[in-house]
Amino acid sequence: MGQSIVSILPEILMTIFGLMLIVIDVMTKDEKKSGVGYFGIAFILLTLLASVPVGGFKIVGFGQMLVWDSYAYAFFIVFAIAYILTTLGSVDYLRANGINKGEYYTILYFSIIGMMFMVSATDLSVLYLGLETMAIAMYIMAGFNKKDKRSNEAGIKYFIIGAFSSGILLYGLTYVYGYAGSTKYSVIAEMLRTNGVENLNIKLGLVMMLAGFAFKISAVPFHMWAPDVYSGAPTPVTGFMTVAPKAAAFGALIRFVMIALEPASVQWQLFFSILAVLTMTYGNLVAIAQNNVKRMLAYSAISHAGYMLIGLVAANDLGYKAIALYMIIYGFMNIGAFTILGQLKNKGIIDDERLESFAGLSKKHPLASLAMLIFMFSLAGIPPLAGFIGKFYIFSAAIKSGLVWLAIVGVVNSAIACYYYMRVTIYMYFKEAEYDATLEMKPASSIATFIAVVFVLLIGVFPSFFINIVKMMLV
Amino acid sequence: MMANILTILIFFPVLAAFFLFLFFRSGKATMWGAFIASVIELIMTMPLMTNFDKSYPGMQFVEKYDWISSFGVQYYVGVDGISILMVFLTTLLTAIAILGSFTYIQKRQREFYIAMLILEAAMVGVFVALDFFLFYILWEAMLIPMYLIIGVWGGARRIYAAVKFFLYTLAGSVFMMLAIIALYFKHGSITGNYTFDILAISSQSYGGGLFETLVFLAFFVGFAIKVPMFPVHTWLPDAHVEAPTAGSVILAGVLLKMGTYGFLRFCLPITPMASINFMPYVAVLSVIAIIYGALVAMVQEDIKKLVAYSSVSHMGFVTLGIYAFNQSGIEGGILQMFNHGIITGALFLLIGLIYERTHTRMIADYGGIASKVPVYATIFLIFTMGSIGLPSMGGFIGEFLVLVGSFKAFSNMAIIAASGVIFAAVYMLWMYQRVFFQSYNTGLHHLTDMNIREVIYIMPLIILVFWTGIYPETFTSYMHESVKHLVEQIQNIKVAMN
Repeated sequence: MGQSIVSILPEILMTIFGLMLIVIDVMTKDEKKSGVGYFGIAFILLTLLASVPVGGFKIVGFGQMLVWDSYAYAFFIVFAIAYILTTLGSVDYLRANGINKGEYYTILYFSIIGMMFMVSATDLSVLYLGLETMAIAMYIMAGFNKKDKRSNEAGIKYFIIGAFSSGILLYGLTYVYGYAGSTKYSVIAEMLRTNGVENLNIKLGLVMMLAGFAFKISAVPFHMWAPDVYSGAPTPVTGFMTVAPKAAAFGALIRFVMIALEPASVQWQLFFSILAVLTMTYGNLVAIAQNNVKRMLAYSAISHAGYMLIGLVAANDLGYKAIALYMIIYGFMNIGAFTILGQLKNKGIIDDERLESFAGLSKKHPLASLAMLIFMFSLAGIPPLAGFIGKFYIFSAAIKSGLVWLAIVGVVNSAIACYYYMRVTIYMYFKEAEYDATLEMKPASSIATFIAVVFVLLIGVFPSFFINIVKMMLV
Repeated sequence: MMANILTILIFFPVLAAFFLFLFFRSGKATMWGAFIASVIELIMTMPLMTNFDKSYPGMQFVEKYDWISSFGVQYYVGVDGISILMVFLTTLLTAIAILGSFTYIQKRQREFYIAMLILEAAMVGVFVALDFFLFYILWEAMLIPMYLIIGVWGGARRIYAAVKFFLYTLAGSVFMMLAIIALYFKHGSITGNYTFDILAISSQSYGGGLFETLVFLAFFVGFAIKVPMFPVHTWLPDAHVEAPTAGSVILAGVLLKMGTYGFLRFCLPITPMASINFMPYVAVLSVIAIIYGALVAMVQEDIKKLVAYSSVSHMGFVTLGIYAFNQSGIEGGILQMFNHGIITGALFLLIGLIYERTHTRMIADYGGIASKVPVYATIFLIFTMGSIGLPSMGGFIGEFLVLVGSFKAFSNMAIIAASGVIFAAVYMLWMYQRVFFQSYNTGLHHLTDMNIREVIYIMPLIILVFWTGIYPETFTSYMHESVKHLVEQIQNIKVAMN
């Protein structure tokens, strides 16, 4: 039992801190609600420190239902980055939009507990619990801006489709359980190894499960909810949603396919390679047509899920490391971009994320534009920025597995993607402002942007340190 | 200091740019700061040139440090006889281009000069990188400042040109990235040593089968776009015409050379059998580029566009020479790379300075200005002759060696290519006649001749164009041994193949 407690100690710590956060929220005055967020950052950092894994350790708990290992820790880092940057980027956004509520930070914080369970799970029931904890928090976050119709729509859409996809996933789980007689990953693998995958029930179950996962990572053709939800949700939340829940889903998926589906690797590799191609290509092609930067980034988030799927399909050690590294990098650059986007306001212009509102920005706000330029080129995968390192690792993994064709599709896609990322820089640097575009960078957002820029540059130029972290984590 | 000279050459411009960014507030001060930095950089190239051991074919001034150790990536730099002239060309042209921009760049000067310095660092780095990963990063890093230079300070259609330039180059280089990764794993699986070390990867044979062919093609696409070879040259006229003078000078002078340098450094040593197999096709494409570029140049009405198309033609000679696979062909190719940088760089500078005065580049808008601006007319004539390849000037030696080399390898192609020289004379002289002679265009009566600053920055180029023409040994002596080594490598494989 002692070991079991240790295996969920990080989650317990997070929960205790989370409950404290609720109390802190009650005690803070309305105008000082951002303090809740800062406490959240402090709590997450404390938990992160308290649960540092020592040299590839692995603590299995509750009869192999979940495990706390360095792999889970690596994903915890991604969630922490997402939380910290999003909180810093939200402070001014919430104030400016009149939704400065303490529960914003608390719910965001609790969603991370769900994500941690997802990544730690080695049992279908724990996986599902974690997933729902995360998902419910995210439904609320998407609709957090109650006064905004688009945000309302996003919340409802995300809830209905999310619940639907959870249902499919759950249905798949029951099939798998019915077949294997257990919810444990290792038992499922054992059954697959002895009986093969040629059973209709297990096939059905697995397909539904994987489809449920595909919903969560917004892979085409299960992506329909993503553009509307991403563009409707409050901007900092969108940044968070494109990173943290997606990382959690990838983390859980990798563990599931690595352990439970290991005997059926040929089948799921085929399934995901088709999804990867569709996801990258569709996301990119539709992103080109967008005139709204937020929507453009929403579609590009879909295509980035496609790149990460390549790492999954590669099904080698390098691929899984690549996904973890990509997630960290993506967290910095995408949330960075959304932070700037969230700050961009134009009084009198209804739709504040239009591409045109970036026109001439570089003259008025050279530093913010430079940061945006760095994020855009990093997302496009241009060296010496971090995004390139991520893509390089992903494509390396594919080539190592002999999937050259998939790497070529990925590479062609990243060349296409370059075009729409460049459009933002074209407006910022090459076009004259149509109207008085002002960008006010408030201190908290500036800090978030600065942190993101520094890391995008650091990982780009000195990736060794970060690669070693990921490597150490994923032994 | 000599031990770290290459690192200093790469990082000095970046540090200078950073320093200017932090401490210089006014555009004028940044301008002077950038110029001084680029001159210091040029001066620092001198000890590199003088201490270079010309009798040694391999890499010199080598520095090697672990960078991304888990992936076998190193910070690994060095120069040999093939790259040293390119380093010199880069630092020289950057200093000149910066001085040439003093009056041309009127808006957002700080950003411009900072971008120029970062560009310089990346270009020097590309020519000295001996690690594939480092090479690729620098190759791509150079795109961002160039994209901004064309897009912010360029002409009317600058956005179109900047995007086209960026996407074309990127599309090519992503395939190069796949080739690099493939080589990394292949080399690792053969030798057990997973590394991006270019020399190690070059010294391994890959059997000449499908793998080698695919790697060759992936590299070829990337480099051919950069050169640019026919039919992927269409980004070049747009980029050249729309770029500000300094941008055109760097594009023509240095960036195009990165493509042909890639052929020399990667295609020939790493995929020799595929290179030999594709030799006839490359030769045909080169000859098409020579003739087609010249014919299209002939009908241009815009001087800058004319010179841009002439670049397509001249770079055709370079690729033809390289793919002759013999000493004179390759040496001629490298010399022609150097000469083309000098001559075309100078022509773009000259066009830029007259454009500053008249705001037109249309040949028809000029006429008879020789009497008005005699110094300018004289200097322009020198480079016109240089471009045509008049003996005693650099262009002649380069093209001559290329033709000698290619005649040995594929005489039919060489004969057709030689007619390109005649075409060059036609379009250059015809242009010269229409701009400088004929009847005087009265609209240009306030035209002023070159001032001291302009003469100063063109002077080194005049000296070099004659120097390479009269005593090319100064420059070819750097490359003899390295080229000899390269040619031996390929000839051995050729013999083994037969």
